[in-house]
Amino acid sequence: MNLVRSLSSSVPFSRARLSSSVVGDAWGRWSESAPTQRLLRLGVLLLPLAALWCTAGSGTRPWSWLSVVLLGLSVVWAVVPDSVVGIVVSLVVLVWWLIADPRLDDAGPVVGATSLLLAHLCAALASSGPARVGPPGTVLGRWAGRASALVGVVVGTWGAALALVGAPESSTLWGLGLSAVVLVVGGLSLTLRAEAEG
Amino acid sequence: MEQQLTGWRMSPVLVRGIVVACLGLGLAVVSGRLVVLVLVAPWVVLVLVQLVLRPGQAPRAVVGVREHVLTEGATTTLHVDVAEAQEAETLTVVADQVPWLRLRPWRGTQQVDVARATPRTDGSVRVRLGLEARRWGPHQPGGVGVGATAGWDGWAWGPVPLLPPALHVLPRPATLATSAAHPDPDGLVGAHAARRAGSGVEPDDIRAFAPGDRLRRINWRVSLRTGELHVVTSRAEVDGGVLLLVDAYGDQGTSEGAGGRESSLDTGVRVAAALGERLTGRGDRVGLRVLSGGVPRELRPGSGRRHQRRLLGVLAGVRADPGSVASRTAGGARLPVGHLPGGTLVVVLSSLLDDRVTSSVAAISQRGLPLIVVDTLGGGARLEARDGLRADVADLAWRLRLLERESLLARVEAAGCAVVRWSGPASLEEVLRGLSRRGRAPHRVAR
Repeated sequence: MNLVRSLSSSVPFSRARLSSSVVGDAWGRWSESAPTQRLLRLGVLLLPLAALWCTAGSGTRPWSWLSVVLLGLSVVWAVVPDSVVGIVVSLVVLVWWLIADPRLDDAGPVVGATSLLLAHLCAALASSGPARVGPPGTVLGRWAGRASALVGVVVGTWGAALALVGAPESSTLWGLGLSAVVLVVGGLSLTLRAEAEG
Repeated sequence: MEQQLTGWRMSPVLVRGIVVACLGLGLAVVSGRLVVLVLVAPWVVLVLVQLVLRPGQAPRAVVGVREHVLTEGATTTLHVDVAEAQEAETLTVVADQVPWLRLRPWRGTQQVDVARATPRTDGSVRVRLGLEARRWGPHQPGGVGVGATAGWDGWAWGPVPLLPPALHVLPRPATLATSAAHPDPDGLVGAHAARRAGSGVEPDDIRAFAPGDRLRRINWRVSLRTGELHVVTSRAEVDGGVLLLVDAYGDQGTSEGAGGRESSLDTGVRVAAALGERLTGRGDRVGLRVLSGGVPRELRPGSGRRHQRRLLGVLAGVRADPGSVASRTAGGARLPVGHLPGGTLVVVLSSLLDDRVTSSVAAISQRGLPLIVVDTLGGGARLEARDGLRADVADLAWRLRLLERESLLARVEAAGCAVVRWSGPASLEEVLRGLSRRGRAPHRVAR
């Protein structure tokens, strides 16, 4: 059981039960939610679609019905960011990438992996508290550092994968490696500094 | 105050991460697609970090309020102290809204970054919510839920439901602007000039010296002029008895709490509180009796600050209770006015919509006690259309009830009772002065 859902639907917090319909409940949550929460949920809604469409750069466009299904699932995920729908959305993207098999030497994999990762992190932040209050700015700053470090991992893995399949130029690999290190070290230092200041 | 313990558990974020990372890694290995590995690599790292940062000791939460007794309109703080929260990243407190207690922030939710919070001396982290008491009475704040996240949001604790202690909200006395004296003070020691001679400071008469008179009372100017010793006599200074009768048979009108519209019971209670504050401060003995269909609430006459606090406490517990149908038809409980000493000023605070009140008023009037009836029915009072009653029928019934009330008021006034409509701080000034003048005139007192 998630913190947000528990906080809003446990015995003392009966307000969530006032809305009779699902749509009314969702609209109530949206209209009462904090601006930061809206932004985070918008990320949960749109970033999985971006991850799905990143294979289009390699010439494989996702099926329209799959996009529609994914959008529907993302809506549910955005409304209830801690639900199991998040797992389904992530697996749909994963399986599509397996089917589409995009080219590794394209920027698509990095953008797609970053999008899916950010959707996951947005959902994590959105579910850390009730919708009507956004995470404190310091928490957002700390997570920005963590996200940066994890994007560095994406870039590093991509570079390593390129090296494995035979990179076109060694300068590209060096560039990727350096970017990954900068992202990871920069992100981690941001995170650690935020925690040390606290 | 309540305290509960629960342990840390995997958050949905970590569960999602584990599922996606494991399945993604498996698919990447089975299919040999490096692009899938790129996709799941950050998930694997994130999951590993979250698993490594598993917190140990579970936090403990305690809820409390800064003040248990406060005056309506005042704000207190509801605080949640979370001990052993060093490993947590964020703490979230959600409080439920209840009538007459306004939460600040108004959403009743507070999320704090534990790393930025200043720990208390015992190491716990305190999360505060403001609680504004909107109306007098005993109030139970809504339930509070406390939750926390830790280890890059991979671990969750709570929500732990807590129940804050109850609050006792005292009525805020209405503003009174009256300097009128007690109409018929008949006590022993106080601040009012009595009709009888005594050792007060207010001069009463000059008469010839008699054995037993104090020398400092001699008026030398008159004595020299007349050639015979004369003394100045003064009036005794005594206290007065006051009985406040609050009509709680019903509550008409809309109550919006402190600073908002008042119901009839709001007005009655606040004016009673104001009179109690003013009169006990002057040294008068003030008693209170709540007229309702429930258990009678009564406060024996007394004076001083402690008695004033007791009076406010009794007033804070007043609840509208019409009582059973049988008690209504039987005319309600008899008012024990027989034991009241002569000269006791009786102030009835009522909307005068219940016959039991008017019969009580008649009994007091027959007893010959100075009596003021304060009409607490506001202009905005209406009969609520409920239980299938049509709005126009309810309106008609209310108008008929008001007509009956007008006739009742006329009868009460004809019986010699002073009826004054509460319309602000100076409402009682004129009628109190009138009663004082009447009190000095010869009148019948039943003893």
